[in-house]
Order: sequence, then C-alpha cells, then structure tokens
Amino acid sequence: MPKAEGGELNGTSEPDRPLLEVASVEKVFRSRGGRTIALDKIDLDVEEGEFLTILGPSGCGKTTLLRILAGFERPDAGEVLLEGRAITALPPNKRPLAMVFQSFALFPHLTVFDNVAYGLRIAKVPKAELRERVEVALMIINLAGLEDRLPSQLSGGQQQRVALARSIVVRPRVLLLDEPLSNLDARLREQMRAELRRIQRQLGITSIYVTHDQADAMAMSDRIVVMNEGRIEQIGTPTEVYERPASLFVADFIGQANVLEAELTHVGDGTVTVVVLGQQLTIPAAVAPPPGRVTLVIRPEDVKIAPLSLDPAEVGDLCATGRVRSHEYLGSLIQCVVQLRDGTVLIARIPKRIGNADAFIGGFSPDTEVRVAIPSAAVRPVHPR
Amino acid sequence: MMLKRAETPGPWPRWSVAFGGRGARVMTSIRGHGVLGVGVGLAMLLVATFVLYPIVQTMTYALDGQARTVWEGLLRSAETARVIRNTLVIGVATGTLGTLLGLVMALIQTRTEFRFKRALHLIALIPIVSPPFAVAMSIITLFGRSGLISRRLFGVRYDIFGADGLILALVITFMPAAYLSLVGMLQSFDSSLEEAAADLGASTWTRFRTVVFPLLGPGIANSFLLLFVSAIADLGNPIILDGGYTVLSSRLWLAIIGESDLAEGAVLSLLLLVPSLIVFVLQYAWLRRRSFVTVTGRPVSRLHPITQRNITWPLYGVALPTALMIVLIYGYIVVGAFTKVWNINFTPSLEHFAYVFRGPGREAIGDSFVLALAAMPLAGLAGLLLAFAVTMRKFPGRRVVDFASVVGVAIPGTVVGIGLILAFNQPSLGGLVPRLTRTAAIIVFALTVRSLPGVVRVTAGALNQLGSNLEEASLTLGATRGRALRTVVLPLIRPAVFGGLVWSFARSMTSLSAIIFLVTPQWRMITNEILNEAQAGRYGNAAAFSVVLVVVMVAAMKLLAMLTGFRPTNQLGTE
Repeated sequence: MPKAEGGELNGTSEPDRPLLEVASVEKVFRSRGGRTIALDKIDLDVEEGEFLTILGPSGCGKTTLLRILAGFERPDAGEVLLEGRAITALPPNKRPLAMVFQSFALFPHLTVFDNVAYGLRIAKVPKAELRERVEVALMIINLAGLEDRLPSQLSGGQQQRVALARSIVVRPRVLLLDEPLSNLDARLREQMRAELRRIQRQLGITSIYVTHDQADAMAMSDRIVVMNEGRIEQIGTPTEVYERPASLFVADFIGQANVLEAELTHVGDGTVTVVVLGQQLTIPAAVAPPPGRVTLVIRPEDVKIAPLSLDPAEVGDLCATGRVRSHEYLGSLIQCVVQLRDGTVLIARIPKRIGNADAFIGGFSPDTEVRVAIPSAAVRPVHPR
Repeated sequence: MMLKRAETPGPWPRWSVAFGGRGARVMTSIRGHGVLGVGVGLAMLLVATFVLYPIVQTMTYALDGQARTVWEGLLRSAETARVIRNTLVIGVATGTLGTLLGLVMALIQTRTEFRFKRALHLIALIPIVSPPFAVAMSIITLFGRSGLISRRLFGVRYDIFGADGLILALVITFMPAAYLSLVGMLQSFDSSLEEAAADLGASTWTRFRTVVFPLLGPGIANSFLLLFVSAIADLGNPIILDGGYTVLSSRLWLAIIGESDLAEGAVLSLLLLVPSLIVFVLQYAWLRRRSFVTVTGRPVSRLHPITQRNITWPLYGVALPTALMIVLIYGYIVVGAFTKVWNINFTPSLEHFAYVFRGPGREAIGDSFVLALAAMPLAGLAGLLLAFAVTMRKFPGRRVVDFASVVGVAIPGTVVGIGLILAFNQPSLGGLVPRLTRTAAIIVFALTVRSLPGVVRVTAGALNQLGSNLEEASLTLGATRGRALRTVVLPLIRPAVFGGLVWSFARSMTSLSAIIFLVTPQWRMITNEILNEAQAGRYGNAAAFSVVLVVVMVAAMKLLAMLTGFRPTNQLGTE
C-alpha cells in the first residue's frame, strides 16, 4: 500500500475529528462469472469544507464508493461515519447528504421551482422560507427567472445548474457529485468547473466529486483520491499527486510519465541513491522503497534536450545520449521522442517560446544525435504496481 | 461509432424486459418492500396458476399412460405425418415470404425516395388490426370459386381453399411484424458503417451484401422465427381456409370441438407447444445477445437514398402489388359489411350492423366488453407490479419473474385454452380452486394471462426510460420510498399504466384461440360469433362484427400511442 497522506485514522474523538469517515469499507459484486471486488478495505477521511475528488478509470470502484456514501448500496464490511456517528445502515433519505447525478435526474414533470423545492417540501420548510431559499439558490446558480420552466425547456448547462441548486438548497452536510460535468461539451464543461468551485467555496459546502477526468480533478480539488481496481492508490493535493505520484499507476493516469528501471543502492535521510542508465544518482524520496529494483518516473516536461556538443554537467544530473525519433509541434509545446543507446524511449516536452519552435525542429530533425538530461529532483521512485 | 453490441436492442420486441435494457443499470434492493413483495408474489401466483399449471397439466395428460393409445394412433396414421408436414410448410412459407415482404417494404421506407412512402407505411400497418377470420373470408370472396377477381374479372373458378389461400392469409396477417422490426433496425443502422464500405469502393449492392444484410442477419432470423411461430399457432385462418389441408392448430380444434377428445387435444397441444417454446427460448437466451445493430440513441445521419432504378424498381415491383393486395382484402371486408350479400348483392345496406347492434349480436358485444373490462384491471395491476419489480428492483429470482411474466407470448392460444380446460374442469389444487370451466371467471383469467406479457412490455418500456436515478434523487433529498413512488415514479409512468390497461382491453377483445374452447352460451365473445356467422355462411354479419372490432382496436391503439408513444409491433398483436 503506498503512502496515503492524511489517511491515518485519528485515534481520538476530539473536535477536530473529520466530518466524514470511511473505515475499512469493502464491497464485492457477485455475478454469474464470479466475484468482483469493487472496494477493497477503503479508508478515507473527508474534512469539513473541503472539495475532495475521487479520481480513477471506469470500473475502479469510485461510483460504488459514492453510492455507499449516499446509501444506495450497503458495504459488505466496514463503516461510514458522519460526525463520528455510524450511518452505514441508514437509508438514503435519512442521511443529510445530497447527490448530483450524472444524468442530472431532474424530475421531468416538475418545474424548475418545484424541482428545487422538492427537498424543502419533504423537510416541511415553511412556505415563505421555502420560497426565499429556492430563490436564493436559483440566484446563486444564475438561473433566476426560469422558475416556471420545465426541465425539457432548458439547455444542458441550465439543467446541470438546476440539479446543483436542488441539492445545495437542502443544505446537505456533504454534497455528492457523480461525474456531473460529463454530459456537457468541452467549453461548457470548463465554465461549469469554475462555477462549481466558486459556489462550493462561497457556501463552504463539503463536496465529494467523482470523475474519471483528470483535468476536472486537477482544476477543482483541494485533495484528490486516486483509485484503481477497488483500492486507493494515493491521496494528496493536485500538486502532490502530479509531482510526487506514489505509484506508477498514479503517474501514468495523471499526466504522462517516462518510466525507467533502476537499482537501489543506498538509502539516505529523505533521499535514496539509485543506479540508472549506468549512472549513480541521488534523488529525493519521502518514503524509501524496498531495496532491489525500483521504478522511476520522470515527467516529459522535465526532460531536456541539448546538442551533443554541450557539456553534460551543464545540462542536468542524469545524462544520456540518443537519437531523435520524431517530434510533434503541439502549439504551446513541442513533444519530442528520443531513443537512448540502450533502447529506452523517452518523451520530452519543450515549452514553446517566441521563435524557438522552428529552431528546435530544424536543429533536432529526426535521427539527429542529441544529449538528454534530467535534473535529479525531477526523478521519482514509485511503487511499481 | 464502433460496431458494438446494441445496448438497447432496438425496436425489435424484447422478450426480456429487464435484462435487455441498459447494461450497467444499478438497482435498488427489494428489501423492505413488504407491499411490493406481496404484490409481486400474487402476480406470480396468477401466472403460475393460469399459465404454468395448465401447461403442466397438459403435459401430464399427454404423457400419461392413457394417452398411449392416442400416440400410437397418431404414429400409425399417415394423416399425422401429413398434418405435421402441412404445419411446417405453412410455417416456413409464412416466415420466409412475410420476412421478405417486410424487408422490401422496410427498405423502401428507409432507403429510397419513393413518393408515396407515407401511404405505403400506413397500408403495411393495416393488418395489425385484423380481427380473426376477416382476412380469410375476404380472400375467399375475392379469389375463391365465385370470387370477385378470380371469377368476375378473369372468369376462373379457382379453389382458394388449401395451402395457397392459407399462406396468403397468414403472410398478409403477420407481415407487419416483420416490417416494423426491420424498419426500426434499418433506421437505427449506423450509416457510418455503410459510408466506410462505400469509401472502400463498395457499390450499393455490394454494401448491402457485405455490410447491411450480415448485420441485419439476427434481426431477419428473429423475424423469420417469430412469423413461423405465429403462423403455426394461428387458428382463425386455418379453420376457414384450410379446405382439407389440415394443420396442427385446426386438427386440434377439430379434436376438441368436433370429437370432444381431450386426450388427443393434449397430445396435439404438446406437438404445437414444443416448437413455440424452442423458438421462445432461442430468442430469450440467444438471439437477444446477437444484435449487432448499433443503437446510438441519437438520430443517425442519413445516407444518400438509393436511386439506381435497377434496385428500386424490383423493390417497388414487389411492394406495390403487396400493398394493393392488402387494400383489396381489407377494403372488401368493409364492402361486405355494408352491402346486402357480400360479393353477390352489392346493394348498400346496414342490416348486418342491425344484426350486430340490435339483434343477437348485441349480447356477444356486451359480453365481450364485460369480460375484457374485467380482465383489464387484473392484467394492468399484475403487469405493473411485475414490470416495476423486474426493471427497478433487484431480488433473488428476478430472472425467474422476468421469464415468467413474458413466457405467455410463446404459448399458442389453443394450448392455453386446452390447458385451462384440463386444469380446471374439476376442482383443482386440492379443492382450493373450484371447477372453473363453463364460468365467466375462466374466460377472464384466460384473457388476463394472454394480455399480461404485452402489459408488462408497455409498462417496462416506460420504466426503463425512467431509469432509477429519479427515484434515487428523490431519496437523497429526504423522501421515503413511499413518497418517492407517489411524487416521482407514479406521476411519470401514469400514461404507461393507462397504456397497459388499454392494451389489455384491445388484446382481450380480439382474443380468439385461447377462449374458443371456453366460451359458453351464457358468455360469448365477438371473435367466436364471427366464426359462427362465417361457418353459417353469413359472411356479411361476420364482416360487420369485424368492422366493429377494427374500430375498437384502432381507437385503442390511438389512445395507446397518445398515452405512451408506444407503437404496436404485431409481436403481441391480434391473432
């Protein structure tokens, strides 16, 4: 199990206890084919007011986890605690949580007003207060004036907003969002991303957001939980999971990663020494991997390419020579594929600066021999799984 | 869009209402649903008592020691072999010709610029509302010995009774089922596949041969099987038209009505039941998974219509005579209803309607309405409960419930009728159920279980569209299950519930084969009266009854379409 920052359970039930705790939750789906472990001993704490994203490929268990939090599924083992109280056995309507569905799930026979008021009516909120709260909610999501429309008369983006308003108006302790942006087109999606984050901050509402889209996760989250095959791979801030991925899976799923195999020779204080590409290199490592073979990841933007004539020591700590295989001009950057002498393929991304594109493409045409250099701080040992 | 298995298996009737639906549907557990559980239990009891138990009784009877002599007699007689061969001939002929005509009509509808498409579509749908016997009578008066076309136009005394007339009647009656399903498949066919083939140099015909037809293959096979089963189960047409070309269903009818031989009836039932059940299981378990037509759920871009005359003209050459035939046959029924003596005295007259509404026919109309209305709430409620449980809840045995609620369509009506007689002509189930034969109750139950699969389909269709998220959204906002049902689910499926009721009514009004052995002088039904009138040679009265039934059916179908958007696919349609 890779390290999980903030994942340890607080032993005490002091006031700073997390708002929502998931403790050793397991879920197995049985079908004709056999058993699928959807969730394998999941532990997770959610702090008051934070925006937590559960990120992973389809089938990783993220939606199952969300449905367990909402109460639509019961875990086979483990507990869900809200403010220290177990809610595992509570039916969905008894939980102070609200969910925004991927399909929006607006009631097609009710107007926008009645959709938003639905939860308040169930909570028997007095008429005057109900009207005010619905109006405020619609104002927050910029839909004031559309109260009498039916969902079918709204655009996709507007439906999305109504779905959001319907959930926030009941002031849930936790807002659950199940890929709510995946039905929107790219431009609208970016716009809604910013708006969702603004509303969440404004209301200080604790939110759990499930998605398979790394851009959503990076742009909105306070913390990201990366899941794979029913397990949590890493929990951390967007910068942590991108810059210090705990496993090969995380490195690969979030952004792009070059992978190198290396031999661990020495463990120092917060650093390790490895032998990679025939060179000894000391790199930072918060948690030392077990001795023996280790896997290293390097982000493409940390790989530098220089002419062969340049002195190795000047360009970076980890150096090698290779041949340019191809490059692609991507507008804001140039992506270049280099094959090293030993056959390893590295991808490098060179940020475009005024005038450098033509020079680069001209200078490093395919088959040119080049020097590749990587600063040691950019090399990360990861869990190989 | 890549070629992938259809997630919603297109417009082709789905046998399984629950499992053909969206792949990764997450459902709520049935736990804590006392009322629903009890309701589903009662609905299942209904199916078990009036579908499964009678079938089991029939089988026991047919495989019993006493039936030995019947089997021996059947095996020895040359007639048996002939009847079975005749049955296979009309089944295969109807399946082949009906599917072919349906395909031609569907291609014209979806892929050509034929100017009178709309009219052709409506004509192709007419047979959906055909009451039993009407087509057969019309064919006799048009093409028989003194037929309008055969005798008066061409001066031929043609003997239409037998295989030719029977196959014509069956093909016309069941063709719309093939047509509707193939139109649906062609409409949702992902045009990019064909565009890709065209791009690679395939001509129109090559594209059809290498891409379209192979992908339609399962649909075509399905259509053939369905028409085959419908044809061999049909009773009305053979009774009138077989002219000695006896098939299983008319032999069965003769055994019961003519010879009162229940043992032979049971044995023949088994013979008729086996192929139908095999086809049903094939479709339920196998064909359903083999639908490769891509259904994307959004309108598919239109391909350039076919304009080459060497393709379109042969299509028109097949379709237009078919359409003309349909118009002629159905038009002539109306003529027969409104003239003094059908095909002989063409003086306009309302006397047949006088017979139907004022005379002896009135009672049958009244009884039909009473019985159909009595079956309606039973079928509607049981159908709603089964459909809801199967589409929206998960529980152990869900597959069994799903199967049981639709298996009824696979059983020929005559088999149901005989099964009910065998099961209930004495107190049954240990004296728990009194003798039911010769009562209205058994007719009502027969009508209920006959219309139940259709009701389940109509309701489950609406529930599938509803999905489970709306109910869940309601729950997360604090509503109890009861409240979610009341404020969200029921208001949204109300049209479908009414649709199910309308379906049940229409289906009951036109039911023939299941009730033909159950009607009594006290309780009569229109369909049976049509038979009586036709056999007595009073074709005009029979035609008038038919017109009344058609009007009722059309009104019901319009209402159904208005309520649910559900279009009948003759699948569960009239007999």
